[in-house]
Amino acid sequence: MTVAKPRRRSLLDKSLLYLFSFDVEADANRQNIGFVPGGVRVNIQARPNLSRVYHVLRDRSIAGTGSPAISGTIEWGGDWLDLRDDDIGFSDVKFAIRTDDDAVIYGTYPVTCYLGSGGQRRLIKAGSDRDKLGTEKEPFDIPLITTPRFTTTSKVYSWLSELQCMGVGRIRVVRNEFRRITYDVYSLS
Amino acid sequence: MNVSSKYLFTLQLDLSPTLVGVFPDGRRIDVRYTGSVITDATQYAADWRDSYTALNVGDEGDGSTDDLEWSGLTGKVISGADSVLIRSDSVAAFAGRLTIRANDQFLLNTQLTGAVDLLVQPKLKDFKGGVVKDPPVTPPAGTVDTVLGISFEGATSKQGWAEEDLTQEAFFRYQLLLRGTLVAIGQVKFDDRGLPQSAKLDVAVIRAVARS
Repeated sequence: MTVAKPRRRSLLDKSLLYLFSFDVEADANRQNIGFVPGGVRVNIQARPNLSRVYHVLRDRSIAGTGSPAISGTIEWGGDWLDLRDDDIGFSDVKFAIRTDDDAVIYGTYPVTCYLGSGGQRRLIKAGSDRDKLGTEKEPFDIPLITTPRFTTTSKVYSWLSELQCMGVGRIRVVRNEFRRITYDVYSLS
Repeated sequence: MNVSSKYLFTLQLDLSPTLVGVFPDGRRIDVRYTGSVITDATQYAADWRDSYTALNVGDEGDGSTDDLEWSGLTGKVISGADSVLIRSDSVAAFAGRLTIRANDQFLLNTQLTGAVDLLVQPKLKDFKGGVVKDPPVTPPAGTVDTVLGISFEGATSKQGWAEEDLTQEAFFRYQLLLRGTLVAIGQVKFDDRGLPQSAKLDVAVIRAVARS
């Protein structure tokens, strides 16, 4: 006789713990590989040492855990982006953080994002500035949700290696250029 | 199986390594790549002159990559990154991504992947301080022979409505890189801290025919 499993009546409730934020200043000279089967391949590099990692409230520790907050620069970063013909963007991001106290934290995350209806075509279309996506006054923001993971051997930040993190962010587009990528990073706790 | 190879070009890489740390699976090293690409005239002539002639003397071929021509590649590695893992079993695992800009401005998205067994290196006994430790997580200083897989992605079509620098197209010149099965064979040089410093790799297309 089989026993019916009881129906689940509650969510797997998790709350988010804010860890840190980062702003990546994208190199304006993005590498347009071109039209490949299924979409357009674009490689973007971070401008070294101009990209900041910070606690948005400037706290010195993570609320609730007492772990030291992270502050530093993104020493290098690369984003290998596939702007697919169905207006979905996929990318594979790798970067290294150099903290102000000289620790190295290696980070990686995949990205899946919706570019909006006709977004792929609009992002790469030739034309005058008026035809392009985003202006200085009204930039176009592409929302992002990611699942970053971090690795470090620094004893100060080793707690970060143990976490599955979640990033909520955006890519800011001005005249079809990827200008700045901003993320708030949380852990699921 | 019959396997043969033909030389395409030489990849000369300068590596900027940063040691991330030693983890349970090994030693992880962040690497950034720059460098140059050039087709060596002597090797090119040795591997391609005969087949190129054959291709143009009435051999129409079967449409496979064997029929694709190759006229060499010269350019620069404009960016690249890797997270090299020197595993605790003395295997170096590479998973690099590079962008090559050819002299005609064509961009190639490049992936360099594979594993190098540091214990079976024939030159291991000649390395400075070459005693293998247990666990051997630090390769000895010197050069190690390397065979890696390499693949390329580049524009295969163009669209007139797109931005100007998206209107490049591979045509015949790069088809062999985009369609062929390729390997990178050469040496990686490690310094006495166990960090990779440079690599010289000859990229070749492989032709393999299964025995019937």
